[in-house]
Amino acid sequence: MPAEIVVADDEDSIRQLLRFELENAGYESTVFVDGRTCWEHLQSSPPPDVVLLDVMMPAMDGTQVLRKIRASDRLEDLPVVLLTSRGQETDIVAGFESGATDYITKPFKPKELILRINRLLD
Amino acid sequence: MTAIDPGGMAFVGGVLLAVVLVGFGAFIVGLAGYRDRKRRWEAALGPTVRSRLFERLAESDPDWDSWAARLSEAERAVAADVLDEHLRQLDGDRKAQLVEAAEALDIDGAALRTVRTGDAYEKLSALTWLTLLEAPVDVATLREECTGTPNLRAGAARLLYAGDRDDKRTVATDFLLAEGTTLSVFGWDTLYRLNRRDPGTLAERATAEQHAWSRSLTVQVLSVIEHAFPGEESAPIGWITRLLGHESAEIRAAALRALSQYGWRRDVRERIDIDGLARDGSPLVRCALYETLAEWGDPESVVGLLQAIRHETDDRVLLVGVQAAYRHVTRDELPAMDRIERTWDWVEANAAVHGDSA
Repeated sequence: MPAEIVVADDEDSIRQLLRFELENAGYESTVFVDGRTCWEHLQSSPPPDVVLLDVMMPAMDGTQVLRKIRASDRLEDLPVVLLTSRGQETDIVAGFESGATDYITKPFKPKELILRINRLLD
Repeated sequence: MTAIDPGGMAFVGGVLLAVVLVGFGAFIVGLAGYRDRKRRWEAALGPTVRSRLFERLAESDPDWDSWAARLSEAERAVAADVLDEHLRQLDGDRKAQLVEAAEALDIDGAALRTVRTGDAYEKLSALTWLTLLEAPVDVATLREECTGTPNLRAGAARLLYAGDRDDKRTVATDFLLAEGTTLSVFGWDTLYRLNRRDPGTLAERATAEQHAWSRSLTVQVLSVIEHAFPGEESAPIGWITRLLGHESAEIRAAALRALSQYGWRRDVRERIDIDGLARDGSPLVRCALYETLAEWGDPESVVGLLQAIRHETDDRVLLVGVQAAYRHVTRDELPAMDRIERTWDWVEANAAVHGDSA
């Protein structure tokens, strides 16, 4: 069964791009438009294999979702990759402080994203 | 001869005006309706065009020319929008594929033609495309066509920055500084990106030309120097120290902040008249002095800082001074003055709340 990657990003074109790249690499993807709906899904569904979170999102941002994941007994070990804009180094630091497993900066190289996800799944 | 009836003329004029207004209103409503329909039509085309583009991306040989040839005029416009979005989001091999797709649509060719023939707004849009595509454009064309406004100069400089010319820093910096007038925010950012790793070129330009620059451009360049990686030991900084005596407080403060990068050079530290600057009438300059001395952080500068804040009369500026001192000394080392100690206590409490140095 293909690994499931949950993606949350408020930008429609990025969601579609990530879905394409992940499915093209053989993963199953489930996408959400904001942090809150993503968190609701994570609470009510079996844990995915990896979560990809945009840092800047309405309703609940990526770092907030990440903190909730790390505070949850059921989800605390989930690999979480943050998506952040280039130049937002403070987001990266805050993300690691909140327990991010890895990060990717936008604009991103799909090959690199897939390699990083593969490494997390290994 | 028949006399003209003024009442009749007013009536005819009124009717004509009403006809013109109704016609104009109908034109506006019609145009809005057409644009709305076109927008909805294109939005409906979007998912199909995008998924066809993605299908091609997944192929080992996308054959972009045949992809482009099969698109209708409306689909080509939508495809350009989709490419515009994804070119900003992607990097590496995938971006290179999208550039090929854009070239198959002749977006680069059209942009080059627009740079030569369009108005300022169209040229800016074309420069944006060329930058996204990292397309090579000769400098002579840019000089001829893109120097009319600060925004155009900034757009041309950004295009050069995105390219791979060996001399891009010099040439693009030249574009930005040629007029000696205020840069747009975009131009300012581009100047920083071009010079952040080695501000030597910028410093040489400033040494030769700063006297001819506007005040705001001078402040912008000083700000770039402040945030760039420090230049080499031989980098000219005389033009900055000269500006410490400028009549504009904004320039004096910006010059001080630019020097905060050069505390490792003893000759720079020795050129600063700390006592004189501590008596500067401008709070802006005194704030910059305190922060620069703290940034340098060597024992002499810290002593200078503690001396300077003894005479500070403005409570808000004193707060900046004490915050600067907090980075280097303990409470016992402060000048024994009630005002300073009270300010220190606040800075310390604030640092405890925020969990780092104030």
